[in-house]
Amino acid sequence: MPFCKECKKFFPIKGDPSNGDCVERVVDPRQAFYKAKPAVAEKDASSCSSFEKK
Amino acid sequence: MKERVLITDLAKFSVNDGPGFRTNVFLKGCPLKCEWCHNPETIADNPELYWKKRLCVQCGACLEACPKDAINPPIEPELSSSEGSTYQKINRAKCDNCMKCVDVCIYDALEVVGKAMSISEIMDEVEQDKPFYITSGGGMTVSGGEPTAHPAFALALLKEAKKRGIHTCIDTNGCCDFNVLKEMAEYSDIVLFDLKHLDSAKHLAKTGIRNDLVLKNLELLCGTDSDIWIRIPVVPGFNDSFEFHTQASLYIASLGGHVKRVDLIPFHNYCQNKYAWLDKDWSYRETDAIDPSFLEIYADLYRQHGLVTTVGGSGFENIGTAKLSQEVSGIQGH
Amino acid sequence: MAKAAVDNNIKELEKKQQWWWAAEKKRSKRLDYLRKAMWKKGAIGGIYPAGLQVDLEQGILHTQAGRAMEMAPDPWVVKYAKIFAHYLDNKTIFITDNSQLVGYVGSLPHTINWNPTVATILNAEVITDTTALPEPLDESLKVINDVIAYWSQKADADKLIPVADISDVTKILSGTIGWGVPMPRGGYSGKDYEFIMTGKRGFADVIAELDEKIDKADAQAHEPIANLEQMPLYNKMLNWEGMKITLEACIRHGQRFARLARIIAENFETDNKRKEELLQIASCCERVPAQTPRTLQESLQYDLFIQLFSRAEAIEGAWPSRPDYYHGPYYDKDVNIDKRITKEEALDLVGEFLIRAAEVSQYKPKWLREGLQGIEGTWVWTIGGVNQHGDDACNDMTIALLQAARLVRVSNPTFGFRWHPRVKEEVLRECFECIRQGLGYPSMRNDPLLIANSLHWHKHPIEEARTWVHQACMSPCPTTKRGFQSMRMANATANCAKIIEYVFTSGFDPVVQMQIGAETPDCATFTSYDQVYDAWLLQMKTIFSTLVRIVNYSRFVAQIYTPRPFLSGISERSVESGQDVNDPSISQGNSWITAFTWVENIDSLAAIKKLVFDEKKYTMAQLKQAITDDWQGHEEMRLDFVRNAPKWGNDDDYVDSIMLKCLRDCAAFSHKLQDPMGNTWPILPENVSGNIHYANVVGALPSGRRRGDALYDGGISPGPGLDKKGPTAVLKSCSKIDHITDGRAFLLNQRLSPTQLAGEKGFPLWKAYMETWYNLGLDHIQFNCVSDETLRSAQREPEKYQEVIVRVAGYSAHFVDISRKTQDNIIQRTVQGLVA
Repeated sequence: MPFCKECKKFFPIKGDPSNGDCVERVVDPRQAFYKAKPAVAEKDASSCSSFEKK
Repeated sequence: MKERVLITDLAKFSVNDGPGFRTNVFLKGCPLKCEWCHNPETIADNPELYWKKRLCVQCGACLEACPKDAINPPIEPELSSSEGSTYQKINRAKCDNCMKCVDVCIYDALEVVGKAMSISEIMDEVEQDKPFYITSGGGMTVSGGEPTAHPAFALALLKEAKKRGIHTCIDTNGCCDFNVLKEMAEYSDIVLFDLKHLDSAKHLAKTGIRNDLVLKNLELLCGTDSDIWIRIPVVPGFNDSFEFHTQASLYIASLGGHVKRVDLIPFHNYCQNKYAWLDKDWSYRETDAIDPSFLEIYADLYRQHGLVTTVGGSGFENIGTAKLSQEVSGIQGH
Repeated sequence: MAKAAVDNNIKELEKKQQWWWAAEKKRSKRLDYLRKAMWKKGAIGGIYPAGLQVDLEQGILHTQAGRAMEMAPDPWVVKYAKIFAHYLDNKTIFITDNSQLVGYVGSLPHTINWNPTVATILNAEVITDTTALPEPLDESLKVINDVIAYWSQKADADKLIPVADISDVTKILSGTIGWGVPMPRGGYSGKDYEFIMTGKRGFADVIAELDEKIDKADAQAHEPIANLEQMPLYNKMLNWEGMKITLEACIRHGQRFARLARIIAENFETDNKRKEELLQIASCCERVPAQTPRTLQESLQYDLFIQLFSRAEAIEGAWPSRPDYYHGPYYDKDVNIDKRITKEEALDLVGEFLIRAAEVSQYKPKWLREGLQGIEGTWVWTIGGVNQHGDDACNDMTIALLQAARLVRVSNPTFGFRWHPRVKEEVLRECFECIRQGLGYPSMRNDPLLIANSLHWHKHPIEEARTWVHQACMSPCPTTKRGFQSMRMANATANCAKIIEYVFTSGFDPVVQMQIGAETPDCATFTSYDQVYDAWLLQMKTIFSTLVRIVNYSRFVAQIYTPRPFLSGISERSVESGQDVNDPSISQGNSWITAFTWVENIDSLAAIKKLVFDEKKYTMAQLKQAITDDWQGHEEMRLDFVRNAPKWGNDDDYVDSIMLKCLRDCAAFSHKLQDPMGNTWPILPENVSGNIHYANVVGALPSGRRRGDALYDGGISPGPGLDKKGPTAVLKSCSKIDHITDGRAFLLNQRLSPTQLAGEKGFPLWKAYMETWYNLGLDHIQFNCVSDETLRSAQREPEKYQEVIVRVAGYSAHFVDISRKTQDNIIQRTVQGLVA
């Protein structure tokens, strides 16, 4: 079972490595940007469609 | 003096007829018959009848009201209002301008042009815009038609304006007795003097009179201390040649210091409907308006002589520099 | 292209008045990218542009948090603060390439924020209009249904409506006399910028103040001898706690951006310059909103955060702010004193600040979208004016904003410029350039007059009155502790044409078939104009009172049902007192009744007076019949009422005196009406877009208008095509109104031709016009440049554009009177800016 912490897009918070940010690059029809959502290191990522193993 | 004269329009917020924001008083009646005239309703000195086909619904009320049988029977409104329609509501040969039809037209399609107004009626309306004159250096411009065609009335109007503290201009074709002009000029802060052609034969051909009197009056006026703005209506095929403007600029430069400005006024055809409303033919109907930017090179001919020159006659252009160039030329004279 | 060639190209484009294309070439590469990256949100004809999506994230997160706390003992203010915090902690954030300012109201750039906690009737629209819902639709609908079900009975309006007067509510919800529903979190919030934006404190400082307050109150609440003074403390402590929870969440939200910027810089970005910029963003968001800004970038970021947090708490229809006044010192320090950044770099930041505002979008019901016609709300940023001592407050930031506006050319926000006699010519020229270049803004406001107006109506101390900003599109409101109005509920907006309409129906509304107005006597029996006018007065009072009552009530109970911990936390009066910001007892009051469709009353009364009572051409019974028949079968009579009755805006005392009488009777009534603070309720004639919205709601009127005809388009602007005496007469008519004592403010639209404004003559002309406007004592004017589009419309509907005049020497022609071919020619030239 993959966990969020094993994903390329997971960036742990310094001093609080069990939590982190899930950061992705997005290019929409008008602009390019990086987006972030809070993520938990030990969270099950098996149903995440954008999971990419480190 | 006549108590009232016919006025075709009191045009407020005029910005191209003397300095600042102005109210143009258009007097009806003009001795010249310029073929390109932009204000054909100001030529005759009697009230006239407009028929505006855009507003006419062909209801036929005018037909019933007319005692002279001078109204043509209604046709389909779509037909009469189409762009190419030659239908006319009024049979001008029979019409005696009794204006009974105007009273019954609820669609404003029939209209009297020329409203008799007294000095005080005109001035009350002119004075309404005083707050705009104060901030812009504007005022009243007596125009027409031809103001000097109503010498006593126009003079009294100017005097009344001065009494009420209002800046005044007259816009004249210069075709009058010099004493009339001189006296009116004394009550005008600026005389807007129309110059159409230097060649008398050409002048006669297109305006109906020779230019000798006009030029003489202009020269005489330059001998007084009146401020003068010369206005040249630039008309295609008449005075739109390089040669004419070369000559005209030399001529105006020779007139001396009281000419404060030269305005080149490009011909336009926005008035074609007025001819249609009066059921008059117009030989310039198909002539295109002159693009103002094309006149800049002519304007430069005048500027080379140190004359402050505009294209279009804006009342907000070069007013400051007009004074400046006067001072500069004064210094050069020493 | 070489620089000289580019410059020539720009000059050529400007000469042709192709301002958008010129701006594209003039602005920096960064600004060009960011401008084009912007998703335009304004709905066209009520439909959101393709590609936009309603954002479900706030709904999901709020529902999640709400459910989790269902059993918690916290009172609502604390629960709500936690719901707010949960949202800021978990919402998706993003940083756009090339950007230097961060934060958006939704989860992604193309999303429209939807706040489900405001009203179920709004939520119901989300589910019925599926055009902008994310795919797959089934899933979206499932989520939305769940969210709506959860917030049903819990949303603000759901809680308020049952406790309000049902008869008043029904009348307002009928959509005839008012606009919207009373929602303390759906309207226009003023801000206490003097507290939060003057560099004296950041959010962390406020939290420290709150801690002190809580500790002190806590100690007092536990004094050994029980006393009555302890009673209010419990509530205050809860409010303080709510404020603290929200402010702490805001600081964490800033830190999330800082983290993201660092992650991008350290893991993704390869360009060194951009890396530095990202680290700059990181340090900026670590600094603000926690602490006070030090630089222009931090100051703008701080302001942007405040605006976005406010929009996480409420649906904001307006954006009251004064960016030159509050950012000016930082601009000055960065550009002029420390020379940290160049003018061009500053313009990049200011331009981006405008873009960050322009992209903001919150879900609105379709009727409101239709009304707003392509913009998100009435965001009028206030610039210019005087400072609290009365000195000219214009600064380099004023100029930068006006210049940046021309570079990015967004249609919202706009600017309202506070004109006073000591504004420097340099600044006026910048305003003029914006108007000339067809932006349609700044609107011009008469600063000394509006300050006097604030003193007269709301008794603000003069130093406070001088801080005023546009609370919505027109009404001045101070940015001070007591002076700022925390919420202006949009439904104190009267559809005034109903006043005269109800004179003819004895208060019965024929559209919704309901008694809404006063039961005045049958107008067919009236034998004098005075009887008509008395009925008019009674209808006016009835409509205004109905609207005011419900707003007053909503404002009274807002603190109980819909507290605003975030807005309270950035307001001195709440931080100090522990009372919710909407508590009327800590506010001075700055209410006004927006008077939509006002001038129709004046033209109608004038027509009745002239044709029925002066000339006795018709009886009231005949007129009543014609109105009942929507003028059908009475066309001749209708034209008489259109053409032969005097119309407002022509400097004609007959009708102008009726305007004054109506306004002054309203003003007298405004002093009797009380707002929740005990202050007055002056009227403010303006239209936003009510003229279109109400076209089918207002029946036939004695002005000659038929049901369905567009209503007049400005607060005191004359009817379309009815100002036959030109622009000077319009100003003269308007100047008869005393703009201090006759009402709160008066919106005036004027058309100006770009050709009059072209070239070197343009500025002196405009300035003379503006000086006249100022001398005449008008409080507002905004200019629509006559565009080729205006002229095309005039070709289609000549009767509405009769005042459009083509002016040349010795001649002026009404555009509609010119032949088609020549009109086409003029249009072509107008576009090219050649007609003199």
